[in-house]
Amino acid sequence: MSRSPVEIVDCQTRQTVAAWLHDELGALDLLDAEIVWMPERMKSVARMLRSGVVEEDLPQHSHWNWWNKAYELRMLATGGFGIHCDGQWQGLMMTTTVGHAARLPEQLDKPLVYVKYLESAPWNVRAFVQAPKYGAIGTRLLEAAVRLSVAEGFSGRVGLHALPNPATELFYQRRGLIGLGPDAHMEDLPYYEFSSAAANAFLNEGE
Amino acid sequence: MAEMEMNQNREWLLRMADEEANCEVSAGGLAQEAGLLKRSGPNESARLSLGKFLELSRRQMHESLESLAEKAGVDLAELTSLERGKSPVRNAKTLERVAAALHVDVRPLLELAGLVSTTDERLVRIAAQFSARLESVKPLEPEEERALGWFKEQAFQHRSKSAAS
Repeated sequence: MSRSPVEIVDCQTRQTVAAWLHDELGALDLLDAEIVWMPERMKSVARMLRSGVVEEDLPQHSHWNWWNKAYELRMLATGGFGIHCDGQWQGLMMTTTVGHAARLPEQLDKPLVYVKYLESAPWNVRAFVQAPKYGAIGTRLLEAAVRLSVAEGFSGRVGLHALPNPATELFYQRRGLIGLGPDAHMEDLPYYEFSSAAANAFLNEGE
Repeated sequence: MAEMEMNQNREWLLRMADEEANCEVSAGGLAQEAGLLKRSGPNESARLSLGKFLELSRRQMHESLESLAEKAGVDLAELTSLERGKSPVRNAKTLERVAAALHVDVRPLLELAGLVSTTDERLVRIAAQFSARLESVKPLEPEEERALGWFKEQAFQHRSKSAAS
């Protein structure tokens, strides 16, 4: 595993803070994060239910139990990145460079980095807490996916299936990914893709 | 992997954080692969047993769908959907009210509906037996007899004539 310095945003002070971007994480690192994240999520869900939020309005991933899937996770070939700050994982992303090809017409069938999993720690998510702790976690991880794509010779092409809710899809739309609609082979999850041009524009914007 | 050179523009980063603040960051590929997208719930047969139980209990009390919905204070469409057992039960309150109106304990009904988790293998088994027992063995009513005969004649004889010619 190696790590690179990266800045994220302290949402309370609106100052940037130093963090580390770790790479070469495996799917089992997700379980380590879950040891800390799951109880936080459960506390938030309990609070929401007590305040009258109905089940359908809970964040879709709030009920996922990755620990029930430990065996499956162990069998899956995936690589990953994580942002570490304050002694804790602030966000994780799992990617693969095999088994997926680009779908946008201008880059059809070309290889890309496929983001299989992306999540911020629950204390950074407004759906779970009123005052998120750290911001830009998703942006940083997406940046890492694009940089991995460039390093792999895929020209920044990145693809992923978002969760089907407006708040998730808005994130990808704001970053410049193109939505290709629900994917019937993936339980109708909406598919999004970074074209090479849009991915490079995203990188250049922050330089 | 070699060290990654990340963007260092702080203004850009603050803007990204602002834009991201009202969004939810997630991707579902791994969850789909691991089978996490499907909410765990009751199987269809448990739901059908629940629906049939509600229907028979209502009829035993000589209540119509309308009158029971009114007594329980629930929406008629919701009660109808519960009895049909076709769609997942979403609202525990509705089931609680219907159970109260039928004077039955709601707990096993919540379990059959999948609104609370069950470890009661027996309940699942007897629900299946209940459904099986409801499979009618009584003789057909004259209208049913006529309808079945008509269907057989139309569907099967038509085919055998076509095959013969």
